[in-house]
Amino acid sequence: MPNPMDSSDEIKRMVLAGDKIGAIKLYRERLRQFGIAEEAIAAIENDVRRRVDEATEKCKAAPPPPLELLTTDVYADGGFAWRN
Amino acid sequence: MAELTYRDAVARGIAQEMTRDPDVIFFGEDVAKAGGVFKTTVGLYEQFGPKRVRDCPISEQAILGAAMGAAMTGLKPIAEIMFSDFFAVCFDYIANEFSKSRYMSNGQLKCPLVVRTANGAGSRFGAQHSQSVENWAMMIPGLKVVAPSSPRDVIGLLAAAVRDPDPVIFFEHKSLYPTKGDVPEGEIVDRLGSASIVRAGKDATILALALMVPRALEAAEKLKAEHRIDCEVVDVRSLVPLDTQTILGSVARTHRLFTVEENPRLCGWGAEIVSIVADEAFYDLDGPPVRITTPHIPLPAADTLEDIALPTVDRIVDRVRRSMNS
Repeated sequence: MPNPMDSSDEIKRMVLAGDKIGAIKLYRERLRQFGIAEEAIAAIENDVRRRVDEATEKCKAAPPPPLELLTTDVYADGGFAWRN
Repeated sequence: MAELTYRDAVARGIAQEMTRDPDVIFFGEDVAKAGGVFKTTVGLYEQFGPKRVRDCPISEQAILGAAMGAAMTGLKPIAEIMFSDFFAVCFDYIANEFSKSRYMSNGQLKCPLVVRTANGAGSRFGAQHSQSVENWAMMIPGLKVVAPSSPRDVIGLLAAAVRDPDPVIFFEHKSLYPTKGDVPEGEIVDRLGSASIVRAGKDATILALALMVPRALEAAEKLKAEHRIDCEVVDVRSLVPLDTQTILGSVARTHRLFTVEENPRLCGWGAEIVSIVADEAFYDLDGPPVRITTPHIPLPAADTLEDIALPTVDRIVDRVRRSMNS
């Protein structure tokens, strides 16, 4: 099993290529080497994608937040007051 | 004269200085091959090559540490910190190292470097990628601090920053990148420490910086047209050194002072200026100075909330009008 912290050629190649999802790709490969079935990994990926898509659609469809939210929860008393 | 975006002015300003001086180098995250996440540095890698234009690892400390070392050993680095909010993760260099090296070495060390950064709100980036943090830099002895509002000022003030013997923090405004302005042909070199009267007026002085300059100008036009209040608008441009002569001169003529600040209220640049005016020009004033700022809150990501958090044209008009009893 490759150690993701070592400077193997594959890691070097991905870093040099500026492959932004290199870490995720590497971890996926590592899971496979642990003996996790391809279908199980794909199921996790699909589930993540679905959840993100659903959350995105929910946000887009939601009404804009109430204006009071602007000054809510800056401090533990629920507001943003800084002087008496 | 040609029309240029604020975004393209950044690349032109850097190119102008790199062409003039082979000691000028430029580096940051994704600034070379990708041309910058805001596309402000497109073409520089191709023009000046990998030795002078470099992509850095995602380590703001490494970027500013490298800039400091390069500056101390004879180069004139321009380093980019992608979002000014990230100053917080490399603040040791900003607050403790390159700002103090000249003083602590009895003048033997110098750090003629420029840190460029994308500052400010309006892009729905949320509380950690939208802040106006000019005051984080302004409060540190040894740093110079500028924040241009127009493409021409981007080029001229960047040139002045690169040629300055001290470390300069150069705040570009994210929401100004797509804006356009006339820029003359040829070399443009401005002067640090000079404010600019961008609209003359006789009834009140409005000080503004960066994105707040166009808003203050629009508010001034409305105040004139709808309330017959004639405002002078001063683009502060440079916080350190601060052009107090231009500011005090304007207040002496108009007798009223307003500041329009994007930063949250506490310790914003306007507070410092108001204290100077209270100290040195109190008897010129016909009424209390008024600061118009973002409230004391982190910035929200939701568009409707972000839009009302920052000083708007309407809020500026309303605040000035009420204060002038009109």
